[in-house]
Amino acid sequence: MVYTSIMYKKTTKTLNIHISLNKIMADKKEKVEENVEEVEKVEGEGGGNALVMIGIVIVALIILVYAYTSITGNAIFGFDGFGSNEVRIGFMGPLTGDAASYGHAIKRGVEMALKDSKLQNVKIIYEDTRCDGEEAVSAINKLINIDKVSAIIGDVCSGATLAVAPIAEQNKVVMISASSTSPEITNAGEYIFRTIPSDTHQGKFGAELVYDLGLRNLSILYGNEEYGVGFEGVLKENFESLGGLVVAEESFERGSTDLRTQLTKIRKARPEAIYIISNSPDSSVAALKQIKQMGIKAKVFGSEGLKGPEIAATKVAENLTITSVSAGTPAFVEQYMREHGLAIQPFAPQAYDSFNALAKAIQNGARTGSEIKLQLDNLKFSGVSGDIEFDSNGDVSGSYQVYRLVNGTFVLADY
Amino acid sequence: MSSLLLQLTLNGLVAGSIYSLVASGFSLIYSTNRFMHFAHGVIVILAGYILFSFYSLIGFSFYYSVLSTLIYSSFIGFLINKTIYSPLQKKKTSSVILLIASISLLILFQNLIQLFFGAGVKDIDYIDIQKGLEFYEATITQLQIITIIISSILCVGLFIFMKKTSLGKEMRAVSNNKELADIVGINSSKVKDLSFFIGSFLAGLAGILISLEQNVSPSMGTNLIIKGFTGAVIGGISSVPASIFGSYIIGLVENLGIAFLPSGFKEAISFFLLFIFLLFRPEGLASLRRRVK
Repeated sequence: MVYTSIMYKKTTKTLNIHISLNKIMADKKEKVEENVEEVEKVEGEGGGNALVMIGIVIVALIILVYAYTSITGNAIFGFDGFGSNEVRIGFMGPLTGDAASYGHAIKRGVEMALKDSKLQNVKIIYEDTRCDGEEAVSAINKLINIDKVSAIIGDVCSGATLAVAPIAEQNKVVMISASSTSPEITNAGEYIFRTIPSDTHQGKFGAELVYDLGLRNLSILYGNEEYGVGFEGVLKENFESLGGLVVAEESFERGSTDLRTQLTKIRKARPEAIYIISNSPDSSVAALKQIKQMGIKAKVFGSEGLKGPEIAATKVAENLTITSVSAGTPAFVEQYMREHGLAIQPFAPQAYDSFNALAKAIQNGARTGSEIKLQLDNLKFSGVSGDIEFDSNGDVSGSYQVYRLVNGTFVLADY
Repeated sequence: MSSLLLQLTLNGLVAGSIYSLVASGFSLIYSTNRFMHFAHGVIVILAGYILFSFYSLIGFSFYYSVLSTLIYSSFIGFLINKTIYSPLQKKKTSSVILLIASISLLILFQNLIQLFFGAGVKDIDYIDIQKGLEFYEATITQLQIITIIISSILCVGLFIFMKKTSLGKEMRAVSNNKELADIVGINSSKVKDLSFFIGSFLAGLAGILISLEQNVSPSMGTNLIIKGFTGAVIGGISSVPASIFGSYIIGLVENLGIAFLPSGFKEAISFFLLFIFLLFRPEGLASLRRRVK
């Protein structure tokens, strides 16, 4: 009550103020003029404040530099000079952002390969691209023009790889991706290689897997980007040519976590199976949770992007079936566990092989991009992710494995 | 078709409730401070991670964790204002600079969080994910019902607070005309602090609900603040009830829209709406009412 009466007084006061507004405004004009003079004075004496401000800026910069260096692993001021015999290799991939777990897995694979190759004259420069085409373009320009790299391992996401492929091609710099699976990359250029098979194969494999299990009505939930769109096209084409029916195709923006409306449409189509094609762990986890919440009974399949620790940790994805490229030889899986204390992560074996392919070329004396390309064209070795032999498009043929999520771990399933 | 529409309306209401929690805080802060506090998204992310640390990592009880998350988020918002914005405002910095400062804060905090917690998705394992309640062939989980209820209670509460209490009136006075409010003896800097406190409390609540409903990741805040901002602009950014209304519109339109359009258009629909409003009704829906008056 006390408050309201005070408030009442205040309101009447406001009214009075309104009435005498003109007078006040006239007074104010003078005041403002005084203020201007005062402000000018204060600004003259503002040395102390400016110093504080400079201090804050410096502290902020230090934090930013620290954040930058620790996230990307880059040295900002470290100019190491060009060793006479040094070969520089760039690394491009998401080290921040929602696909960062793939980027870090690939980085670990590359680091292991560098260590194992015992090459002294190779230096890797890491750039963070966040799976974003624009970031990737500035990263590759930096790598090519400033760091003068001869080859690049990356990018991770197909969209980013396709965005920079013409730049690598034009500058005759070899690009070798460990994880970009879009069918488009096959024809991206002569200098573009990859150690992971194209989704043309995985789409066919996935379609056959679903069809062979006796499931005829399939719905597809895919990320609206190069990877998702490419995979979805191949999957649909193959599934329908086998005689199945794709009853719903719904897409989502990378990273979005509210997929209920897409799933509502899928539920309405009453599919027997849902195939999730996603390379964003955020969206994958959300999709799996919401499928369960909405009571969709269909059997759930996923592309290799879903084979990550985050998915395994969710308790909602029991019996999720995943098609995946090779998870590496047992020896490599064990070495990965020993060196990083982590269960094997997607694309790490492919990354190991990517670097090894470059290392073999360098050991054979290749230094420039075109020399490395020539070596890669004729290279053949047995890697940790399978036999590596590039065809005329820089692609490898590959085999796939089927995993099922049981009690929070992915186990190899034989279908 | 009707069951589909019912489900989509429910989806829209859930999305709208969460957007409105973000938007109401955002527009509360905008109305008293007159600049876009995009770092509001930071509070949402931080709330998710504080809850994750307290409940999942340290193992405090759930209600204690929620309570302290709310207190911490309110204080962080308050401190951001005290340490970053107020000194800038004292120098009469333009609102563009403040806007840039707030965006940099958002990026800075996102990266700091990633530094400490890693980029992966975190799961607050409090609610067992199971099939939601079903009525008329539409499903809704208990948490989603709670989200809608909490958000509506808060919106009504905020409305009453702004209209009836003296503090709320002071806030509206500052928002309406800061100089006049100063003249009648309202302590406008206190009101600004308070708006940050309440706004961040709401953002903290949104963060908690989101992290329970979906998951916690460093990038969760940006998307939400964009949607909250869109809702606020459509409703009318300087009026809290209007921006709540706008957020519900965004939630409903984007979810109902993709019943008829391919789902790839979901984000496009809300931004299309934002464009239309920026072009023809930059004052938002609130301006319509004012015009009628």
